[in-house]
Amino acid sequence: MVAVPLSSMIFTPKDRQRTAFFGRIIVLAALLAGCAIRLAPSYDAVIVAGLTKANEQAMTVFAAVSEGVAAGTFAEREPLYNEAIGTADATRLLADARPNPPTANLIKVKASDPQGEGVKEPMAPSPLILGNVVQTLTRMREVDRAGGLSASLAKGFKQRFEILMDQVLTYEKALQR
Amino acid sequence: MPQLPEVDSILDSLKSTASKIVKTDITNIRGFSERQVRMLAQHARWIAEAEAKGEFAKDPKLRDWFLTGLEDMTKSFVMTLRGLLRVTIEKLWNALVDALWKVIDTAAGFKLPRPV
Repeated sequence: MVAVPLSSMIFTPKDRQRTAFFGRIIVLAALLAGCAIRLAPSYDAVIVAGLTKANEQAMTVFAAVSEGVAAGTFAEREPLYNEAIGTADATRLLADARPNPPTANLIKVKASDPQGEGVKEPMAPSPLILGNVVQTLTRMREVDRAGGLSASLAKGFKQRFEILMDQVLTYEKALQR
Repeated sequence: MPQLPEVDSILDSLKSTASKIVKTDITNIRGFSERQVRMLAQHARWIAEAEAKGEFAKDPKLRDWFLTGLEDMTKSFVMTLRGLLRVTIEKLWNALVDALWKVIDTAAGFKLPRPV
């Protein structure tokens, strides 16, 4: 009687090959477990709706001043300015309050730092950009109130607004993934 | 008995998943970059023209405000670009992980529970 190992009686070479394959798969599955990542905040339809509304309201202001406006006519435009600034600022707060994903903490970009304090780049650029949008409309309102706006200055403010709005709208819409 | 997938077919599936995502996202990102660079250049030109026409004569601080704004907008353009690339990397990574899980499910012959 020849002693035969139990394993060779139960497992054929094909079974051993399959077992080895599944073993590797299980190890891979263990490594992959929890490996789905989040590198950007969640899409928020309310923020996009806010941006769309702020954009429309601002474009109404720009349409009103596009050919230049005289000093002394500001009062009729003031409510339009206030609406657009209010909507943009409210949307900025929403964007600022949105939580960043935990993995965002692992991705920090330090600007050159002569003081050695370290600077963290915010995860989403939206609050910063919307801050600049609010600043643009506010400054334009100040200039208009002080002495009206030439067609050229109106164009300059509109260009600045459009650059910023393009940045924030493109980013926010890309978050819908 | 479930079929053991060939390594080549796994690689083909992963490559196909990756290239679909990269193709769409890179097209969108390229379009955004071109648009932004054009708009920033137009705005820089406007500042120079406005200065030449004397638009800022009564308020030179307004010119400085526009110039600082141009610099800030260039920085926020780069930040936005980085943000868009992070979204692409996230989509790519998660799609590849999902494709690998599907390979595992096929090899196992049943759907394994995904980690929560």
